[in-house]
Amino acid sequence: MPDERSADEHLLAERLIQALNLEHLAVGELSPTAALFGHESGGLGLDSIDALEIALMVQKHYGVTLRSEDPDTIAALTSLRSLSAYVLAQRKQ
Amino acid sequence: MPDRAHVINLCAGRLAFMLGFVAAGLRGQTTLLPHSLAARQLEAIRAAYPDCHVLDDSCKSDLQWQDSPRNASLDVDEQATAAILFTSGSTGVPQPHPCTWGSLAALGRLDAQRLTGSRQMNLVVTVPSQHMYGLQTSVLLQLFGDCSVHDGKPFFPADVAAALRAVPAPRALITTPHHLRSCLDAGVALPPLDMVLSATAPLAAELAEKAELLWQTTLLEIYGSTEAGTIGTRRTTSGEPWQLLPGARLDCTADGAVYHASHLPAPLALTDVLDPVSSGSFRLVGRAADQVKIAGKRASLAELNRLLLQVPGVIDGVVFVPENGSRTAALVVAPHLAAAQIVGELAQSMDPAFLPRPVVLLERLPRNELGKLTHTALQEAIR
Repeated sequence: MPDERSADEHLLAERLIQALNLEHLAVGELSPTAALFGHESGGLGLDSIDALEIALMVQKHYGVTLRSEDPDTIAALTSLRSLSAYVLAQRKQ
Repeated sequence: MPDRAHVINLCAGRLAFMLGFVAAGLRGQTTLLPHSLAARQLEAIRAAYPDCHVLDDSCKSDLQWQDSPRNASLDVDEQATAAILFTSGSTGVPQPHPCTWGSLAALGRLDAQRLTGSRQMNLVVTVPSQHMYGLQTSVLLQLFGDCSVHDGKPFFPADVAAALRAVPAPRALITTPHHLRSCLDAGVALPPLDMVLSATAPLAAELAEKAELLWQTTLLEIYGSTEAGTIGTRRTTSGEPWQLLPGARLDCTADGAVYHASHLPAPLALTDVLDPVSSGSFRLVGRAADQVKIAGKRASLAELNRLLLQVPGVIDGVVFVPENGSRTAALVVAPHLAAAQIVGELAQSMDPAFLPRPVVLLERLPRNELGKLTHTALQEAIR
């Protein structure tokens, strides 16, 4: 099932909700494949302020630094699932 | 570029933006500067200015400098409208603010004198060139001052550090309180910085001190607006009053302050409460209570409240800006709604930047015996 979440995705969802003050969303409502930026089909509609908060959050919790010049960064910010996969891969390097 | 009356310049790259801006000016075209890249903002502007051409970063390969921008004589009509900037209201309907070439040139020269002492500096700018503050720094300080600008629009703290390392000294970082805090929190190492400039929102003295200490730099702040450009400047850590630009003055009446400046075609009524200290300086007593500014966008709290109360099922509610918050928050009485439903409804009418976070559902609002919501009660309710 595409909407089933790994433990890592669940933890990242909790950290996102906390970092971005999205407490009106239950962790379970945050679909791992929904768009983080943009409102289409259940997207969260995050903006640039949120992107900076996400960068601080992944640096703090995963020791991963986001850089715009890295094309993978933009792809990573697509959804909860892509962000989780990216930070875990970067952390292992 | 096609022969149209208006050019919507969406370029993020500073060189591409500058090429498009100057090329439009030389051809007598007016540049339109949308506040955001949101599709509905662009649609609204295209509908209002049907005779327009849209320029984006792909234009860089088609346009070329024949001379350096500073040496090229800018043969434009001072009275011609160089640019129309747009600000977003609470609902995101763009409001136009036209500026002539004469006005922008005068502002550029005054800013260069005040901010850089007319010195040559290499600027790294994090704000979009489409906003007044970004236009003043990434374009006007280059055209009418002696600055050079890094081509990038760095976003993440690591990007800012990389861009600063890519330019030679003397370096200046042009940014906002939000980005400044982000760079400090991330603890990125920056090369020697001669100046940091902050604008768009009040900068906390503590943040300014931290930045000056950590980066061994001088932090200047601009107090201004889309309509005025610069109103005052100061070194935040000095605690001194704001200095008006040379030749500018404030007329303070019971109805508020009126700003007169040589770069403005007409006096401008200001919404904030200013207290003159001398003929050339003032203290900022209070920001207009109804104004809220998020991610460079302005809205009226009264209007945001009206939109909240329009949501079907909302019985009572209030939108406000919490202390130290970078967003709005809302307290809502709506027994049959979940917070996510309220946000979803609001997203239909409200610009996303102003959507409240968090939305706290209560049985009743913390009104005092007079029925008023005090600042303290609001702060306590979201703790």
